[in-house]
Amino acid sequence: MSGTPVSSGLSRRSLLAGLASAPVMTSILGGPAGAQAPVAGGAFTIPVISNPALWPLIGGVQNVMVNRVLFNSLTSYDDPNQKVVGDLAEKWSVSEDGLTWTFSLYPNVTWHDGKPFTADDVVFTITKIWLNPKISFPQRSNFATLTGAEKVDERTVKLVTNVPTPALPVMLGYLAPILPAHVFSSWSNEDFTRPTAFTKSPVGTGPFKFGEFTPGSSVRLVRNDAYFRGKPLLDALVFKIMPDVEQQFAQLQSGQLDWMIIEPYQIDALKGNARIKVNDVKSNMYFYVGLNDAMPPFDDKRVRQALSYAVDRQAIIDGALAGRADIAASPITPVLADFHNDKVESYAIDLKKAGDLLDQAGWKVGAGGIRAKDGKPLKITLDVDAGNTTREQIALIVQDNWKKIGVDTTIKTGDFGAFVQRMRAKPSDLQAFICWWITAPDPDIISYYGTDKTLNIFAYSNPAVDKLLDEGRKTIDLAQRAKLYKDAQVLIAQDAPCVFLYYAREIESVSANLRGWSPTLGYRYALGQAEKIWKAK
Amino acid sequence: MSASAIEEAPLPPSSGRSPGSRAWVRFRNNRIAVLALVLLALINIAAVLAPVLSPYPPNAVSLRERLQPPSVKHPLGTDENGRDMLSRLLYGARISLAVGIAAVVFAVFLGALVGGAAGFVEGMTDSVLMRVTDGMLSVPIFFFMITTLALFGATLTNIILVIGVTSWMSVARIVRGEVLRNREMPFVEAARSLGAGPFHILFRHVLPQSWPAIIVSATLGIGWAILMESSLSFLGLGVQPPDSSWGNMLSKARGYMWNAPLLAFIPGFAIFLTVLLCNWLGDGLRDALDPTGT
Amino acid sequence: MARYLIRRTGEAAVLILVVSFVAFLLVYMAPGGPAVLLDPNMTPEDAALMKNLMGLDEPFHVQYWRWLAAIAQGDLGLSLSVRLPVYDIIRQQLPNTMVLAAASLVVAVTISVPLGVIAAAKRNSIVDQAVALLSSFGLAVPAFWFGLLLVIAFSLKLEWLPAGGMATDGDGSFWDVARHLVLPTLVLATSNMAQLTRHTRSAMLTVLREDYVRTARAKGVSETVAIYRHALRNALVPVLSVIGLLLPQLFGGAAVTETVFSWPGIGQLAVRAAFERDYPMIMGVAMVTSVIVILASLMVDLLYAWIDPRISVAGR
Repeated sequence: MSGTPVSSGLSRRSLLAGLASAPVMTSILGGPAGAQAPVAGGAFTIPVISNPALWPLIGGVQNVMVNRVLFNSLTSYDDPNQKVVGDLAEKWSVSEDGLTWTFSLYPNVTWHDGKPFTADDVVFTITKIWLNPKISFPQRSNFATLTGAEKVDERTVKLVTNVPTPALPVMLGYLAPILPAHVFSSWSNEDFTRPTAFTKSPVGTGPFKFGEFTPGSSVRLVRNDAYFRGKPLLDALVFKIMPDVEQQFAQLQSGQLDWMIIEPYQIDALKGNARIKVNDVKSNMYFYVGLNDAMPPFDDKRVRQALSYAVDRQAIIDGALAGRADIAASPITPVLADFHNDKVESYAIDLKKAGDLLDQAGWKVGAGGIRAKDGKPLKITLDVDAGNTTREQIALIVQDNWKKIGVDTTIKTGDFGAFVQRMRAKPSDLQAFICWWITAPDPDIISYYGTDKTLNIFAYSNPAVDKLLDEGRKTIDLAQRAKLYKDAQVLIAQDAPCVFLYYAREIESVSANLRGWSPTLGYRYALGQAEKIWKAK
Repeated sequence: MSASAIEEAPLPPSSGRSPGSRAWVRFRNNRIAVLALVLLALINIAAVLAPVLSPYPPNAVSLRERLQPPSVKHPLGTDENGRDMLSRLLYGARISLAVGIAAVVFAVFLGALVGGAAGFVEGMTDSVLMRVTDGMLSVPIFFFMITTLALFGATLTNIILVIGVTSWMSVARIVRGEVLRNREMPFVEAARSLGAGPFHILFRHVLPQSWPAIIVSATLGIGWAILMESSLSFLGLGVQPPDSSWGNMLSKARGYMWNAPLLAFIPGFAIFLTVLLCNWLGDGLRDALDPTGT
Repeated sequence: MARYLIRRTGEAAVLILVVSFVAFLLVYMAPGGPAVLLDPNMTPEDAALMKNLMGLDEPFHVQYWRWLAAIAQGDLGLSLSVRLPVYDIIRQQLPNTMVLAAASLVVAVTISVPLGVIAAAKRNSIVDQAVALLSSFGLAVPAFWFGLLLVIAFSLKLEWLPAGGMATDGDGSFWDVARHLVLPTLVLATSNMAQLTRHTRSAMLTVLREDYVRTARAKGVSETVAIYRHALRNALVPVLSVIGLLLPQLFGGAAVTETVFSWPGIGQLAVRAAFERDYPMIMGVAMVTSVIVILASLMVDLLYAWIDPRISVAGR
C-alpha cells in the first residue's frame, strides 16, 4: 500500500520538507472568495530541496511536487477531507461483483505536445508500465489486485481486478500519473531506465507545461493555455532549488518565495510579518513511537501499554508542535472521517497505571529508580532520524516521560536512509523509534498492521485484526467497510503495537496575496489544481 | 576550507646552544601567545571538569523553560528544549575538543609514518609517498569528506578518521625533512649500528627532533579540525544529537537566529574563540621556534 | 623545462586516475544503496530490479572498468535522482561555481596581497598587528555562521542585498547577478583572504632579507622602490604557488557557501548528491572538480617553473 514516511526517503532535509508538506488554507487568503475578480499573470514561486526529476516514475518530495503539476492521474483528491474526485476521469462505476471498473474520461484533454489524450494512454500506462515487472514503478504494490485494463472506446476504459478493491479509485490518484502512449510506445524496457529523452522535455496533460530547467536554480513551468479545465491564471510556476531550509525561510520572509512548509518553531519568527499567512493543514499522517513487538520486552503487551500510558502527548503537541496537532490513538486519521474511530483506548497519561502494568509484567523498580526483571534493567534505545529539530525534541520528551516510570532510554540519531533500511529489515534490530506514516486517503492499512506484511515494521500480529483488515479491503459497501475498520482500530489500540503520538498537520506559510489555493487540502493535491491559483495585487 | 592544509612550519636547522630555552624566552615575551596558551588551558580544564562545573545535566529537558534569556538560574539561558546552555556548552567543549585533538593525533601518527617512510626509504617509495602527499593537497578533499560521511554515516569515529586522514600532510613533510636532515647524524648511525630498526629510529630518535615543528602544526590543526567539524555539522554530517558539539549546537541554533540569536552566538563564539586561540598559540610557538621569521 | 613539463603532466594524469579509483571505491563500499532504492513503498522485487537495471549488482572490476571506459568517452552516466545525464547537470552548474570561485579569488588577491605587503613593509607596527589580527579572525570564523549573519544584516534588516540564489526570477542581468554574488563571495573569500595575507607577508619578509634587496637599499634606492619594485615581484612567485594550493579549498568551501546561499553551483550539487546517494553524480562531481583543480595546479606549477627556472632543476 502506499505509505511513505515522508514520501521521499532522501535526506534529513528533504524529510523535513516532506514532513511538512501540506498546504492549506482554503482560500483563506481570499477571504470570502469572490470579493475580488481573479487577476491573471505572475508567477508562483515555491522551494524544493534539490534538483527534481521530471520523471513521474520515482518518489521524492521534490519530484512529486513538480510532477503533480505536469501530469494528471485518473483521479485526484479535493476538499473536504481529501475525498476522491475525478481528474482525467469524469466519472466511474463498478460492476455488481466489484471486479470491473469503468472509467469515463474527460473530452478535449490534450497532451502538452498537442496530441489528444485518449483511452489508449490510460491502457498503455497501466498495462505497459504499472503492470510490467520489468519497469520500476514505486507504487506497484498499490495495484496488486489490478490485473488489466482495456479500451472500450476513445473515452472509456475498463479496469479489472482479481478481488473487489474499493480502494482502487483512491489509489489511482496517488502518485499514479497517466503518461503519453504516443511518446513511449516505441520505448523498450531498458529505455525506461534512461529516460533522458523524456526528462529533457516532459510531456504531460497538466495545467502547466515544461518551460525551463536550470540545474541548481529552478524549474520553470509555464501556462498550458489548452488545459482542459480552463486556461490557468498564472503565467508560470517556479520551483526554486534551495537545499538549506534557513535560506528558504529567509527568502520567504523577504518575499522571494510565495509558499513554504515550515517547522513549528519557525512560526514565532513570522509574527508581525504582514506578507505571510500561516495555515495548518490536517493531513492523512500520524506520528508514533514504533515498538518492535517481536522483541523482549515489547513482546509483552503490558509493557507496550505502559509505555503508551507514560507518554505525555499534550506536552509534545504544546512543546514541540506549537499546539498544531491532535492526539492520536489509532492508525486511521480523522481526515478519513467515515472510517476514523475516536472511541478507542486513548492511553491518556496515567503514570500509576503504567507503573502497575510494568509491575505485573515483572519489571520492578530497582537501583537508581530503573526497573529491572531477572536482574536485567529496563533499557530502551530510541532511534530517531538526525537533523529534524521537531522529532529530536519529541525524542527528548519521550525519554523524559519514560524515565518517570523507571525506563532508561538512550536516544540514537542517524541517517534517514540507514534508518529506513533497518526499519524494513526482517527481523528488525530496532527497539523503539520515532517515525510516521503518510498514506493515500483510504483506510486500507493491512500492509502496516497485517501479520508479516511488507510495511509492518512493528512486527505486529493479531489474527482478529488480520481478518478485519482483509475483509475491509474487499468490502465495497461503505457502511460495512467503515464498521470493519472501526472495529479493527479498537483492537489495534488495545494491543498498542506502537505508541500513537499525534495526527499531524502540515504548517504552511503562504504569501498573503495568494488566491485560489486551498488552505485545507495540502500542497500535494493543491498543486494539482494549480490552474486556479492567482495573485492579488 | 582549511588553514592547516597549507600551513607549514619550516624550521631552521637547530643551531647551537639550548635553543629550547631561548625559544621559551621568546615565547614568554609574546603576550598574545601566552594569553592564548592560558585561555586554551582554561577551556580544556573546563571541558575536562564539565561534569563538575555544569549546573545541570546537558540533556535535561524542561519544556516550560524553552529559549530563556540568561538568568541567575541559567547563566547563558536555555535552548529550544529548555536545556541549560552553559551545561551544553561545557559538554560540547568536551566533544569538540576531543574531535579536534583525536583527529590531530591521528593525523600526526599518519604523517609521521608517511614522512618517516619517505625519508628512510629513498627512491621510488619516497617519490611515490611525496606525490601522494602533494596529491592530497591538490584535490578538493572536502567533497570526499562529505561523501564518505554521507555514505558511511557521521559517527564520531568516522568524523575523527575523516578529518585525520585529510590533514596529515604537513606533518609528513616536516618529519621527512627531519629524517633527511638527521639520517646521517652520528646518533642515528649509532642507533642503526646497534641494530635498531627504522621504526625505533623514527620514533625514538627522529621524531623527538621534529616535535617543535609538529606541535606548531598540530596546534593549528586542532583549530582547523574544530572548524571543520562545525562545517560538517552545518551540512548535517557532524557530531549527531543528542550529543552536543559546538558545531551541532551552532548548526541547530541557526533555526532560532530570528527569535533567540544568543543561541547561535554562544557556540559560534566558542568555536571562533578556540580556533582563534589555537592559531595565535601556533603562531606564537612558530615565532618562538623560528626567530628568523616568516 | 620540457622534461619537467612531461613529468608534471604525467603525475597529474596518474593522480586523476587515483582519484577516480578512490571515488569509485568509496561509493562501491558504501553500505546501503542509492536513496531511490530506499523508498519504503517499493517492493523488494522492484528494488532488486532497479539495482540490476543500474548495474549495481556486478563485481567491482566490471563496474569500475565500465565507468572508466564511459568517462573516457565523456559519458559520466545518468543521475539516479534527476534522471538526466550527469554531464548535462555539471555542465550547467559548474560555471556558476567558477564565477563564485573566480570572484572570491579576485577579491582575496586584491585585498590580501596589498595587505600582506604593507604588513611586511611595516613589520611589527600597529598596521602589521592589525592585519595579523584581522587575518586570524578570518581563519577562525565558521563560514556558515558568518554567512547567516550577513544575510540577516544585509538582506533582512537593511534589505540591500538578496538573501540567496543567483538571479532574480525573470531578471538575470549582469547587475542582478552581481548583487547576488556579493555575500557568497565575501564568505568564500574570507578564509582564503586570511591565508593569502599571511603568506604574502611571509614571502615578502623572506625576500626583503635577500641580498639583492639589501644591495638595492645599500645603493640608496629608496625603501618604497626597494619594496615595490624589487621585493614584491619576487615575492609574488611563492604567492602564486599558494594560490594554486587555495584552489581545492575554494571548491571545498563552495560546498558550504553554496548551500548557505542557494548558489546553483557544483558544491551544492555535491552535497545533495551525497545525501541522495546519487552514485553517478557523486563520482561525476568528484572527477570533474578534481580534474579541474589538478589541471589548474599543474598550470600554476608550470607558470611557476617558467617564472623561476631554478624550480624545474631542483624539482619541487
